[in-house]
Amino acid sequence: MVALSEPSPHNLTDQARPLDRRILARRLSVLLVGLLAIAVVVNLALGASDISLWGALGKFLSGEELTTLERVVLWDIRLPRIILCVLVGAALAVSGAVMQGLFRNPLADPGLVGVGAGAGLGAIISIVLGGLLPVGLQSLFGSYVTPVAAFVGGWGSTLVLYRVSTRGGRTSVATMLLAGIALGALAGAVSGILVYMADDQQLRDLTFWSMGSLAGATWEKSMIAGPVILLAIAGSTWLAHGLNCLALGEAAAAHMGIPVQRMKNAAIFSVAAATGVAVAATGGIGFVGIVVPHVLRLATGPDHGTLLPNAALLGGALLLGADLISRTIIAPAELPIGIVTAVLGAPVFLWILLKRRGLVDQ
Amino acid sequence: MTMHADHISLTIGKKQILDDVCFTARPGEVSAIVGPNGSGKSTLLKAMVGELPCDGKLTLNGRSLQGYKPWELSSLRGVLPQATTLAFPFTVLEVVRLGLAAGIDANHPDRPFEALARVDLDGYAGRLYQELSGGEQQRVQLARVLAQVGQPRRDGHPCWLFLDEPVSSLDIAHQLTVMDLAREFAQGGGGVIAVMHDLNLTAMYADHVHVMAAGHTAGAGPAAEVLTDARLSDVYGCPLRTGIVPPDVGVFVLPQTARA
Repeated sequence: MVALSEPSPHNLTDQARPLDRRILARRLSVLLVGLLAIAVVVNLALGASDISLWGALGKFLSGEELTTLERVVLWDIRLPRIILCVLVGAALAVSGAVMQGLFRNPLADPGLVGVGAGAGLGAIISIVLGGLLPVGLQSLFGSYVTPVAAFVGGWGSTLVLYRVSTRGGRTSVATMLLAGIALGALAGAVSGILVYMADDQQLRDLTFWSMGSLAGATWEKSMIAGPVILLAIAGSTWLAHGLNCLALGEAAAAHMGIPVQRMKNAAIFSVAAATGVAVAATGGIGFVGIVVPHVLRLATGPDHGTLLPNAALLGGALLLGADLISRTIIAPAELPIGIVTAVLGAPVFLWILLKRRGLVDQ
Repeated sequence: MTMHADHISLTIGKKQILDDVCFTARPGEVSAIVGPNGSGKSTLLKAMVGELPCDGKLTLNGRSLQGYKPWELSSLRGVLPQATTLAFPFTVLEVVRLGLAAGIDANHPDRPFEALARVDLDGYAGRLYQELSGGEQQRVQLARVLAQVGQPRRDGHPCWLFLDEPVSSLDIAHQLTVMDLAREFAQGGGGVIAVMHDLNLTAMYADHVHVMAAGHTAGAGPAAEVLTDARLSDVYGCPLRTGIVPPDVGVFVLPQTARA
């Protein structure tokens, strides 16, 4: 009989070795896929209208005709909203993680480097001064004037920022961070002037946009945002090893064979695209980009190879949860989702800061 | 097949840090760069690895440095910086594995543990890098470099280690451990270039010594020829004598005693 109690030498060395956090992170990925699936089903089932998801599903499977109400609520309202919500949550979380890796700072966020402020300025300009546009242009963009302007603003501010902070082919992260603060202040000041010029209706539009909302989700918006966000996420997971090496510093990363400047360009590009589209689609939704990567780093470590895909999953699930609260807590009215994420995210963020102050300070 | 820096000059702002420096390191040797603070020794190393842009010509193994792709260089040359702060809470194992991925034997499961054992950090793999002492962090970084470029020769070409003050934050036993590793790498046919502060360790381990003073070369050659009373006194600005036990000095400890 084989002596089962005697471990082979191979097992012995394995036991002497620490738990590989990559394995832990892969297990977490499976859990997060499950969490996301549950969140999708719950968001599809619950809402202001008390139709039965299961009843509708039964009808659909048996080939019966759905009622107009069921079709409109499930297919035209809830499903596109869920898809947009998952896309935006994933985009915000992954952009945050990439930006933090790029800046070598766990508190960096696209909101900090002016992408958010630039997008906001674009939206405000479109709301307050949109009436001055030639009628032809107005009818061309229709209700898309604000999203398109937000996207252009975010993109433009990233390009300006990049020009300012890149000299001789090298991007200085410190300059970029400081320039981002300056650009953000400038965008805020111009926005403030425009808010003073706005009339009552414009002010109401502005307030809603700035607090963030998924209420305007349509299939069309999802189809515009989807490819851009999915491409940006796929591209950034390809950057994972480079971002890991960058944690040791730019020089060390270069000595480890990373084409640092090209990698930084790609990271900035993917962040600008994903954040721009996300902000354009839903307005300002804060804290997802900081809290999600932070929580995941605490759970399974900072390896971007697992952090980025997990951030996409958790970001999507988290925003679905926040959206569920925003849709149901004062139903049939809706709370802007930016308020929900701030209420959920800010205390978590402060708690992390207090607990891990040493790691953030250095 | 050498590391050669030909007429290197470098200015930062208006200050000339390196002025027409020529440097050659051969495989099979430990080459040390010594000199007082601000003499340009770390800058010379940074210029030679391409971290700082400079005038002059740099060749590695007979090829211009610009002719290499980043990933070619990373399998041929490892660079140990003076100190490395980490942006995120990586474990020791994860840091060493980053070096492994940059080298040629990527994803060899045992290599990081072997590298850690070589720098006397057995059992540290699961610890968080940020919670280690400065000297331990320095040895983790050396293990990372060894995981990246562990073999002194590859495909008939020598590999290179560039070490910026590799022993400055280490205790005397680990200083010897690390310098033994450097010598072993050189004896295997690789090249080692190290910026050194400790003249005793330099005399013990360096085959070739390059003395820097105010951005110039103040002497280069075998340790016994270069580390002379006159040159050291002149370069460091204080009266120094080699190989003399001064009378009535009380206790002193030489690293040489541990390997005598």
